[in-house]
Amino acid sequence: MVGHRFEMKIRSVRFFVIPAAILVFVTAVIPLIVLATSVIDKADIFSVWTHSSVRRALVFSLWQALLSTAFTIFLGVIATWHLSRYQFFGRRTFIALVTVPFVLPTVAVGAAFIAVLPKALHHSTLAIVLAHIFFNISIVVRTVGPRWNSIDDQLIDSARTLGASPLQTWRHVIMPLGKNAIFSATALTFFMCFTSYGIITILGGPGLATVDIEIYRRAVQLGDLSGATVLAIAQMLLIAITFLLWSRSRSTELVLFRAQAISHRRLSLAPKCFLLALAAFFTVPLLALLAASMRTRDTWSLTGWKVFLGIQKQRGIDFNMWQAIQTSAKYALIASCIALPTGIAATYALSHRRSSHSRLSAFVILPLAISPVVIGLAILITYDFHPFDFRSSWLLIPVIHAAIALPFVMRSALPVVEGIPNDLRSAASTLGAGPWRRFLTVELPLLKPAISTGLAFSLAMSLGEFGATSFLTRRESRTIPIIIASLFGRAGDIPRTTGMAASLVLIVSTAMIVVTIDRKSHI
Amino acid sequence: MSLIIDNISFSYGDRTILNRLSLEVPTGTTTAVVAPSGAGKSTLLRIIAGLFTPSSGSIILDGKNLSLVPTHLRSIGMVFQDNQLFPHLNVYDNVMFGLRMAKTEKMIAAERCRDLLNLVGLSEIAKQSVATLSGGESKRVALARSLAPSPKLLLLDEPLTGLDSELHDRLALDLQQILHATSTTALLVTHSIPEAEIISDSIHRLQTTVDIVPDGEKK
Amino acid sequence: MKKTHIALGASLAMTFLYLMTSCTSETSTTKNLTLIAYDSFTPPETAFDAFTQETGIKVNIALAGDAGEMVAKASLTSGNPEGDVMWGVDNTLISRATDSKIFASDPTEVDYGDVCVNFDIAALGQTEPPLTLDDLVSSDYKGMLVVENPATSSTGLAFLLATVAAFGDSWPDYWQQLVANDVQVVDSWDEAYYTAFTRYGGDRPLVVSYSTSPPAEVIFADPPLAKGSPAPTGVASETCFKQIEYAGVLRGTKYSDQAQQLVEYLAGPTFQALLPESLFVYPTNQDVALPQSFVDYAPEITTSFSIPPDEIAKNRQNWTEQWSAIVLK
Repeated sequence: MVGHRFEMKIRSVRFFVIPAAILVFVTAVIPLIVLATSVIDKADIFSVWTHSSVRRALVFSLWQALLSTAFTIFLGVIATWHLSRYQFFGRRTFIALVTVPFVLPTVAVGAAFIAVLPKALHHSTLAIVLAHIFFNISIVVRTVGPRWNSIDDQLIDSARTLGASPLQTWRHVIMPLGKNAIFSATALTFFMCFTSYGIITILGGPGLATVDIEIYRRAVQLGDLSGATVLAIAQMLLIAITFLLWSRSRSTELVLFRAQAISHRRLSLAPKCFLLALAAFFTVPLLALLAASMRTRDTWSLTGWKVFLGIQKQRGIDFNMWQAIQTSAKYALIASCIALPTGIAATYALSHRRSSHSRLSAFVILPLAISPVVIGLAILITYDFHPFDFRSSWLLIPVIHAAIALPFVMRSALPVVEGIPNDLRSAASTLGAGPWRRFLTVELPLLKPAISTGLAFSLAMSLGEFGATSFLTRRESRTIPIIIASLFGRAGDIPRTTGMAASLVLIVSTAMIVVTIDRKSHI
Repeated sequence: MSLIIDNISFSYGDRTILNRLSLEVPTGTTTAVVAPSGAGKSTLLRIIAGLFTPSSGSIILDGKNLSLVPTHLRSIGMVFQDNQLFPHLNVYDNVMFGLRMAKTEKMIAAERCRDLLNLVGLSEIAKQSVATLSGGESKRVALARSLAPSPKLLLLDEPLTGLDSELHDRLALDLQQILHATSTTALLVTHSIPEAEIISDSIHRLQTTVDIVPDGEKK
Repeated sequence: MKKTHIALGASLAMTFLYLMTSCTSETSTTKNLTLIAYDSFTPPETAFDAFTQETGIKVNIALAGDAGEMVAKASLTSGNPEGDVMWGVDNTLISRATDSKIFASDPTEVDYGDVCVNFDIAALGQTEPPLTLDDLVSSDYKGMLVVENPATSSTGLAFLLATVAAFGDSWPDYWQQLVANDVQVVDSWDEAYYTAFTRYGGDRPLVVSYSTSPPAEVIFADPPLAKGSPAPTGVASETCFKQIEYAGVLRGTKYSDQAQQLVEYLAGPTFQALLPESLFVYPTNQDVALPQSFVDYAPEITTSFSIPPDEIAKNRQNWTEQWSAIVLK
């Protein structure tokens, strides 16, 4: 009897994955199939690869992604170790500082990097790698941090009493224990760098184009939709398969999730210097942005800020900042309302069937793996008939934002959901709580950290999203990133300083949202 | 291989946990220190292992002052209260760990490992994951693991706490025999006098020389 | 458990229903027209008030990415358009638009402007500013020019077309000379203007921009320029390529009469008068007087280069690939 009930529960929880599947199907899979069947010219499936620009883009994508990933993981692993094991002054602030960039709008961060890098480094591979480190180090901290944080200090002590030197302890205990987390951080970092778009458009340059840029160029500049779609599908399949294989090989080990008090050991000088340098790396671009927003040639001026805040009227610049903030906020809230329940429900399904983990994680990454230009075009020709003519609906934008945020919501929710002991559910049931009551009174409070992290992620992803938004937006409902881009498209001091001011406001407000909502992060 | 603890003091913040403690463990014997919990027993072991630095006093092993020797070079094994087996390694590899760190030759290491597993009676489950072990089995693995690199001194921190009474008694006897068979110099800390009586050759009580501080054990 | 299913299913169905109804209700009234434009289409918010007053029709503006993205979208949805009228297809893209029959009838010219080499007067100092394309390869301007990549930037494409128009088949030689003269290439106009151009801290006093950039510099100067002082940048007036932008009724709109009215409004004097100081382009309507800022600061471009749109469409890919082979090596 008991066995039978258990069985039933597992089966029904499996259906919780349906909303997430619908979201991915509606925003990515169906549109892409429709686009593929209507524009692909069969000859292009093979011939597109013969263009030298396509090959160059492939090679460069791969090269810069490998380089960026290697550095990000290296620096991230060192930083994560110290952040997750040692107590020091400003630790929480530091974690926030490192974590926030990942969700920052690329348009704004690109502006910040341009403001701080010496001219010689603009449009170089080095600039791209630096920006990728800036963005993605948080993946390592977020993924590996909780893992290492849960290692008992005494386990390391026991290795040392067995004769392991500090270096051997790293090699034989710490790294193996963090291995799976590091692998998964590596996969995600590589994916983010390989498909990087915003950063490359700003910091890249002639010859430094990724596959996503090449897709854009083919579709938009050359009008070669067929070739662009072939590339987009190839890239998507490649990423999906990689994720499938990658996460399949390491889906067996359960994530231990036991938050532990940070040890009271003090940092020695060398790691202190390292962390200080890293902190500088994260703050300097923002300070440079602040300076750039108030600097015109040889004078300091607040005009950019005044125009941005609407205090000063400026001929030729016409936007309503409050409206933009309202629009951004509205989209972000709706996107979160969709992504959070969908993502957490799917996570439930996942936590009961770990075997489907790899398939699902490869599946939900799809909307992120397709170039925004192609998604935009695909959606356009898919939903163009009554009653599914969604093209003119503003709701389309937050729905796409939700699909983009979905994998991140799920990643942050998975450890929490898995950390809820099954016995607790059973205990609640024996006390007479029905499934809904049990959910509301027992699980929901325990899910709080997952909800807050997921909320922070989905709000921030939506606030900064540019690619899909720029494709589908309305004049009266422009978001802040759209306004920033259009300001940087004008000649003159005031549009430039106003754009810098807007970027800084977007960065700071996103950072504040993430830090306030996500205070209970797990490291 | 005798151990001399000479005038050790230790404080954490403004709390004194050990106050001028002296003790000697003769070669080849097992000495027990018995004290109520919170008396700084674990702290003492950690100081001996070099995991904590004492505020004053010295640890002398075989006539050599260990003050400046880092933990991994002290050749002091330790069995932790909750075993601390490596979760990513199976039983065999846990026992092999110390031998591998010392870069012992493979054949010799494998043989020693087998011998020890035989000694603690776990040869059949050598390939099992440590997550599947019972409390008693885990303790035996921990013991075998710390004996493997042939330490000059073995430290045992409440080795039998938390085991049920039947297992407790059997393991106490086993422990005594194993330590005897390997003629290991060992220092045991425990709160239980009967336990100490079974396992050890001599018993010391932590009393007058130590300020007993409630809740005084701190990492 | 069953209850959970029903609740889940119901909430899903409701979301869908809501999505559907909220989307379909928007397009079914004739009192609204949708104007599709590129994302830098920023006329004043009040620009369509006169039209609404006159006809009772409200104009919604849908931004469709940059001009290239807009045309890509429009050709995909040709015959079943997202909106009723499209603004801003320029002469480098118009053939692609007409080839895929996105317009119901021939589109109307609504504005024009020139892409020209701009110079930073202060940074040039004693050096005489350049005037022609030939000047740019002279050693006087070695290491001074920054251009945009025609493969990624419409400004860069326009400048490439200017050289093609000027030199015919020998344009590759001209670019070889530019390369020898240390021309810098960046991917977009804003990179060229805001990071490479000396006026914004770069080291290149010559930049490919617009003939209307000088009046923009004056309008947006901070602190404002003293009255009567000249613009801080100038235009090499024989280096220009003429860009013409079109607007037209999209094929497949249900409201073609009203849409035609809107196109007429876009080409009419009320709207055209707003163009110079909001989009920094010239009105095509001859009855519209230019604002003082343009009269004072925008140079008159008498000799700009041009190439027929169908020829651009035919050769564009070849030219940019050839260009890449010469310049990006």
